[in-house]
Amino acid sequence: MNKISPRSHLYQLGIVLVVFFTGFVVIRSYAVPASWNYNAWYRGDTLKDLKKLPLNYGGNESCKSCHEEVSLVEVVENQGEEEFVDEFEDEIEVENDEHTEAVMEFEHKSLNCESCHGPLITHAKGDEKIGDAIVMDKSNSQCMICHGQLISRPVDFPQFSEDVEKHKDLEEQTLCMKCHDPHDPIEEAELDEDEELLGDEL
Amino acid sequence: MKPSVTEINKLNPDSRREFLKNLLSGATTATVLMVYGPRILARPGADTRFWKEKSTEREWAYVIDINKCIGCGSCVRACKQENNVPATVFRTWVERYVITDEGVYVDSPDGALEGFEEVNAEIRDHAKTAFFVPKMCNHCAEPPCVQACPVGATFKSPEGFVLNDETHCLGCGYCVQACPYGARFINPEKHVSDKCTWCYHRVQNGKLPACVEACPNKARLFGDLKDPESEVARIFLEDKWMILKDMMHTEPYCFYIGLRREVL
Repeated sequence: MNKISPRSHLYQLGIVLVVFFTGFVVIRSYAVPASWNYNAWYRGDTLKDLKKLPLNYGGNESCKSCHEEVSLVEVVENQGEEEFVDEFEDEIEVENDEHTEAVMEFEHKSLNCESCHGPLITHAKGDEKIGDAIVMDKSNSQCMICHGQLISRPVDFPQFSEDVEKHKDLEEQTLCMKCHDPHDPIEEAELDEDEELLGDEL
Repeated sequence: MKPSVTEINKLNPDSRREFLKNLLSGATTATVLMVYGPRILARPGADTRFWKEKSTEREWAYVIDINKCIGCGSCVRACKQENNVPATVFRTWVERYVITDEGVYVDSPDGALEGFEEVNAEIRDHAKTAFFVPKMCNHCAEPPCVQACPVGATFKSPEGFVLNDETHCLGCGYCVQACPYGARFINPEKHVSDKCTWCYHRVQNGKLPACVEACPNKARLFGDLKDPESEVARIFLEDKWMILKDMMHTEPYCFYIGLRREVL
């Protein structure tokens, strides 16, 4: 009969501890990401991953990179210089002269093009066009989302009012765009005497 | 016969002195270990406080001007499209406050995704004043969500952005509860925590956050406080900014202009 060591319980405990510790070290090496930042306690590569996310919105600068000739910013800056207009007249993608003039005045210059025309990612990839940047919703609700009359809007912000002379005899379904050019709403409304500008082309 | 206490002390006169000596030395050792122990054990150069890692090059700040917000929701729509945020949750949203003579009416229909309809006639008749308040993650200097995260999935980046690592997040929702601004949510598609990143990917690539880009009335501004030319730095010169929930000591980096006490 083998003589059992009086310290065998200690050896057993030792083996259990070694197995447990080895297991812990192995699991930990897999569980902790390689780029773990021990100072700030996060996975360092997260920043790289986030940086790689696609930019869906390009901003107005990105529109300018292809549409330089109709770039509103550019046109406004060079407003009144006839040479500039002559130079780009043929390249301007807008058909009618009235519209071009309106673009030059450009009341809506603080708007993001993509707010109405949709994000860049649906329109261009690099220098190539992959889809039209047409405005899907040309209804009055597109205008009213900003210019509908609300008590919570700043009072000095232009809001639709039925008190305006020309608004008085509007029919329910009359499109705002019939009189107001969406790029330059104030100027166009004043120009419009014979109601044949944008409204008929829609 | 049982010996009395005095007799024991006489038999072993040093025992009480020894005991007191041991007690004192033990207490001193424990105190010294508690104070210096962690410093000795810590990795060289490591500091567990994230703000020590803060980059000194730039100090990003976000400014929201209540007086300019028209409640159109362009920012909400831009954010959704830029960051592919599911329909039912919001990284940024716009609230409407109507102060009436009977109390404060607050709403945010669909986070202002489709703008606002006018409030009903009853509220309108009682209204004294009304305004819009855009809300989002405040990118606190002392973010409670980062403290709450048990796995280090949410953190403060060296540039000052409070970000979430969706590959590491368990979706336990502790951060959602910890945020005093309600800016965090569990993404119903990815089943992990999600939040505004101040469009980290855009800012790091030299662009502005999508909501700032989309705002038609310049109610939202983003910039570097250390750049004296930036618009946010100029607002700080005027010193009219306010922050949400100042008493939480979260030190937010979203600053508001024209905030009323009803909102605080």
